[in-house]
Amino acid sequence: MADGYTVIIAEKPDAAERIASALALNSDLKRKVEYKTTYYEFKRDGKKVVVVPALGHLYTVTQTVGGRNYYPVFTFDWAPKYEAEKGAKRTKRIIALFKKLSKNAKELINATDYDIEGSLIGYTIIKYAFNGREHEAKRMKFSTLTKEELNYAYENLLPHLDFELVEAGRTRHEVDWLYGVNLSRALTLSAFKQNGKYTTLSIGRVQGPTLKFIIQREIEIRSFVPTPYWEIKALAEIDGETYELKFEKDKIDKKVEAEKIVKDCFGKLGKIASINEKEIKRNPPEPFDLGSLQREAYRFFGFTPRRTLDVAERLYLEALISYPRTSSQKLPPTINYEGILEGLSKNPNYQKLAKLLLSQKSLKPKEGKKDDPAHPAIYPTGNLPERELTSDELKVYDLIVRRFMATFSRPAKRLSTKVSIECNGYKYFLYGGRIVDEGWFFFYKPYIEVEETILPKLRIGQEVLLKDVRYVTKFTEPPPRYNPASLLKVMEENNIGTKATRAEIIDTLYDRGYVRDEKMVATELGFKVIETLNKYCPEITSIELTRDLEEKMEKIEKGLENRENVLVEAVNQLKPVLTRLKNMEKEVGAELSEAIQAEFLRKRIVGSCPKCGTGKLIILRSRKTLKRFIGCTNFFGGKCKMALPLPQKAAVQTTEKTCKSCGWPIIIVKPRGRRPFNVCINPDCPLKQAKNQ
Amino acid sequence: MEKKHKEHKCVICSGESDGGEFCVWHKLSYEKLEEIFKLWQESMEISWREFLEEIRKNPNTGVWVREVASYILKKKG
Repeated sequence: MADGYTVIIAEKPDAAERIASALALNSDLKRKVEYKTTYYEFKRDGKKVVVVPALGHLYTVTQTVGGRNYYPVFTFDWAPKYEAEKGAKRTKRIIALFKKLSKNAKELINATDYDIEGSLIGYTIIKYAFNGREHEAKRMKFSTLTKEELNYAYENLLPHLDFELVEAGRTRHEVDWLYGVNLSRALTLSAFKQNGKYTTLSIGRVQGPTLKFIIQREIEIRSFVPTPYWEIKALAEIDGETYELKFEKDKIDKKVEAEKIVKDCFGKLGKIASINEKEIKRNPPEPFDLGSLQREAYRFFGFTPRRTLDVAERLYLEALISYPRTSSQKLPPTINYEGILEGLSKNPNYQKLAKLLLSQKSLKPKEGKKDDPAHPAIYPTGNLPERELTSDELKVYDLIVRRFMATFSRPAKRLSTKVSIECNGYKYFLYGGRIVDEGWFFFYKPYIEVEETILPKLRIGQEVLLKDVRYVTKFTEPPPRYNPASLLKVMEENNIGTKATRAEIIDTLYDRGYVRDEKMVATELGFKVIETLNKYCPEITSIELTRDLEEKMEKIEKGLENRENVLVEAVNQLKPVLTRLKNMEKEVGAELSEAIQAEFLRKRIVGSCPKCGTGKLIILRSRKTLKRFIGCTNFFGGKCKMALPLPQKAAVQTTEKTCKSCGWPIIIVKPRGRRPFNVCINPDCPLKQAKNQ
Repeated sequence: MEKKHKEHKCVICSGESDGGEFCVWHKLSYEKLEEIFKLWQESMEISWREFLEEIRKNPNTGVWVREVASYILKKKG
């Protein structure tokens, strides 16, 4: 074909622009728009090349027979996303562009992200929009969007698509579809047939066990009975200074024992029995994989896993960091440590630190055990930002850069002192400690907390006055609620879900109303869904079964298992479950309907009415104007006329929190495209007035 | 017939019971109360009633346990 060209498929528009700019070299890069989609055209080595973006997945799994209100469904096919999903209209134009470009496409290159999802995105486009040319397409493999790596990847193309990743991706999508569609429909339709109201109740292969973790924790918390114990608090006076001592036992089980200790030691002289000094080494941290980055970003910035992933992806698309969806904790030398540090040394924020590392004799990073065949751990590319980064981007970028540099540093050393003091047969300890070699702490600041306690000069046999000894009554506490970061860790530890899907699954639990609040509280609906599934089909929430299936899908990635076997197994697992659910539809529906109604009401209750004191404030809609407002439940009895306005264009969410200033309920307002904010519903709230002044 | 129906509901939450006073969750909480009461008695001198009162006002107490403690205290007057 004389005027044939090479088509490079990118995963997203930003990636397409970066790939095109990198590969165009000195040729004239043309930005073209067709079907309202921007793509790029240039010449390289005399060949015409076009770089076209996808928009994530353009094709999806969909059923081939029956409507939406029908289950079980086991026959499916891949179809354009716009045909299967209402909100995917944009994909129609992009598919049209790919189809048009397919006519003269001489060579096809998949340059989507090198992982399961990326490989599948490229594969489905080539298979369906380029008329089944998947076996002649080539693959570009890269971990950063830097000019150098993109050019290397283009010049060293993999001769064919990564079919094992593609197969693993296809299977995962198909298995998840089978579970998700059938189980969600079973629950939704059971409830609908019972109460006549349509509420989407989703449950999936990973969602079920994940929700079960939260419910198990909720049961422990709700049925927790505290037990008392006593702690001894002691203060010693040494050379006129007061020091806090630690008693030999953390917990005293009996009150009389605690009383006796206080009686025996209060105001008495103790004697130093021993002084031990020890140097404690703390090794540098491992480089970030996605999970550890998400946990650390939650710890320091309060970012949810989803938010961190979104920010990291933007940094990747800006060629500032490597591909973030990785489970690797390895930094191979091929990433060019020196080059990265030299790049970072051009950034005034990291100049001093980077130069310090470059002056080391050799550069060897501390690495973790986890590996990922597709990508290394997350690392900065060393490129300077081409635009001003947002506050979120700056935070995550800084965390990644400092973590990367810390891995090349030496261990930190702390000199720890333990002084043992004896008093009337009881032992107390005085701890001191100071840093003798900052090591990697220097690079990882401010993300490391170091406590120093300098002790005075002490000698064995020296007398010490225990000037205050008392006991404090304490009670055991229930286990903490999960937060998005700790739930993500449990999912990782149990090997359920993938690095790419976990954050989204956690979001879905919130969206469906199964959990609420940052410290995840299971709602009655979430509770009921798990209770119902445990009763009628416990295998759906079984962590072991989910993990087993997950492991089989991982084997497909390695070529050790095949798609058909896994699909047959999934269908065989589902068939009896769905038959059971269908037979018990009435019972399932009755159990869920009550919880749906309770959840619907809970979402509308804003709090207690501050005017009448007995009613509840609730979100209502005016029959006349159809506008939303807050009214009191006592209005209907004619007892209270409390009414407050609500924003009409933004979504509103109740919180169960009250204003610190006036005690009125607080709601969350979620304007479209802007960050949500908390607001007190009291129009005369003193805080609001103070702000206005 | 109606009486029998009532007997199968939890006295606290009206949830399904297996014939006893409580549903599965309130029953679990009651059993835990009995079990932990023994630990309290080993730690200090305390009666069942005093224990329930302490449990009811303790902020660490689970919501189901608090409901059971309140129910027993109210029932015994």
